[in-house]
Amino acid sequence: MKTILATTLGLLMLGAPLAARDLAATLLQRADTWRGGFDSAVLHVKLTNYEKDRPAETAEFEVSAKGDNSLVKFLSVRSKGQSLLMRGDDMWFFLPAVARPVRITPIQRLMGNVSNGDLARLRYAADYDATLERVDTVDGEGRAVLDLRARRRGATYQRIRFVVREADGRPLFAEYFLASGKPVKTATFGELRTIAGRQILTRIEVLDTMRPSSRTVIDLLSITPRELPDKLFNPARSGG
Amino acid sequence: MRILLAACLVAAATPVEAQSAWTWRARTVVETTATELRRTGAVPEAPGPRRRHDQRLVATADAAWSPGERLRAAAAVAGSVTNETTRLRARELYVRASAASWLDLEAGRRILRWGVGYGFSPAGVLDPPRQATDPTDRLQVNEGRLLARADLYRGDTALSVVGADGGVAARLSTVFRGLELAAIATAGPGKAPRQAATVTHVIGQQLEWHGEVLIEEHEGAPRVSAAAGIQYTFAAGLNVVVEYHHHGRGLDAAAWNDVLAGRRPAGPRPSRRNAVFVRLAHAATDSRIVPEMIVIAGADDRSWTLVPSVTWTPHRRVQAHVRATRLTGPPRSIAAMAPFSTTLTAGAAVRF
Repeated sequence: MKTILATTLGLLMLGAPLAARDLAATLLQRADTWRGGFDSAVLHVKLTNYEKDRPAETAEFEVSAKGDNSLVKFLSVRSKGQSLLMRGDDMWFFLPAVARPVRITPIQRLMGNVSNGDLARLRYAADYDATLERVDTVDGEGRAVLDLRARRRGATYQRIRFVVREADGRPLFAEYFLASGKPVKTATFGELRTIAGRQILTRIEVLDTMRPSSRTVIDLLSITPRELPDKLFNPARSGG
Repeated sequence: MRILLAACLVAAATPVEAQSAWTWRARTVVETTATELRRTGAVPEAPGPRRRHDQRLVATADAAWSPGERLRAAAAVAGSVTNETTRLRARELYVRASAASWLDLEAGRRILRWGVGYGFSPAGVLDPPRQATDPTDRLQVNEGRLLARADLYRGDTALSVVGADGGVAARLSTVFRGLELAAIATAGPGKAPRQAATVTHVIGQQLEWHGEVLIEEHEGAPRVSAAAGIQYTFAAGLNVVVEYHHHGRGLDAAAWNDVLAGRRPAGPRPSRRNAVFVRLAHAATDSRIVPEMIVIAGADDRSWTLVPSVTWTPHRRVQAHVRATRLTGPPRSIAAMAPFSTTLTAGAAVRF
């Protein structure tokens, strides 16, 4: 009897973390669908930088995404003609003046107010391993706090603390960390719209922890699910 | 006066609202350059005073029309007005058709870049000439060449076959476990065949390395040119590129002595064999103030070329820049024999 009890307790103790990990992975996959989650699609995104609550600059981007690959075209006046290609863990940046895609390192993708990776990497489930840190209850709603750790070099951040609604995985809040453990940004997810038959969060507000007076709002203007050709993501072609 | 008039005409032009199938951009640069000339040099010097002042206006525009994913037509033009000349050039004018999900066909005038080096690019057999002092072609001087091209894609691999200048060039490229590899070959009637290869790779979060090699025949002997370099980005945002270049057709010590003795012409852009290129700049392209420093050191004769610059972007459409070029070295070095020693340029650019 004692043996059976001990075995059951042991299995329960072993099973609990496994179940928590499964739950975390499921919530992360669900969270991705709130941010689009289409297998192949073209997104139109607008960024507005605010300095002390005044809009300082806007920029628009066209993001073509398929599986692990994405191509971000810069549409605003300041950087028109530039594009960022992310193919798995490998990245190229195309400057029209250089007229060829230049290989870049992951840290270069982090430069700028909103990281290029914030636009190019749309699926956290593909880039991060999730563990369930805890579940908080706020106003009667369960909120799962997920600890995301980069599982691949191409992931934009080394670690993300990701808060999602426990019932359906809807993203609420995220805190982003560098490899050093230093927090760099926070993001608040909001503004729900129905696009292509899906409920999608179309606004993310990003705060720079180093510059509290500066914030960036990412607005998803449109998503067009479309089967994109693989050659679009070949670095030999992405030069334009 | 001509420059002022041209600037007014460009500024008065109202940009047309882009349609969905159209993308376009335009830029106008006005700048003035003071040049300190040398009286002696291996290259024939310009007659006249020791200093000269040049004004320049360069207007560039490019547009692409792409009604769907199957067709793209694009053009890039550049017009320049200086104290002495007025020029209008078609830098690119081409049509590309996506014949199949794995095949693109293209014809027209096109700028190709197959080299992967930053300052030097020996493997860029069809590339416009690379200027190590101006790797980003800031005034859009480069022009494409007339060509017909077919690109075939399969997964991570691409094969480009190009017919240009009465010859054929092919490039096979792939990405394998993070290594971007390419093999290049050219051939044509009456032309010596050339073979080249390039590689790029990223290690960790901050380091990229690249290399390229070209083998060609020159003056009856095989010559090897090569470039190898690294690019490192510090956490604070400083981006450093260091490249070594060996120019197989560059002037060795004996040939350079012949040039100095007047037994051999220097040619329009004489070059020695070995050089090191260093560039320091801020990695973020959206910074308001972007200082940059380029240093090219001649390993054969200890000549130095220094190109410091600062670009300031006070508005998303407006940029101002200051740029200097300083050539220095021992008396018989190639830098000391250049027709000028120093230039200082100040200018402004407006983007549409």
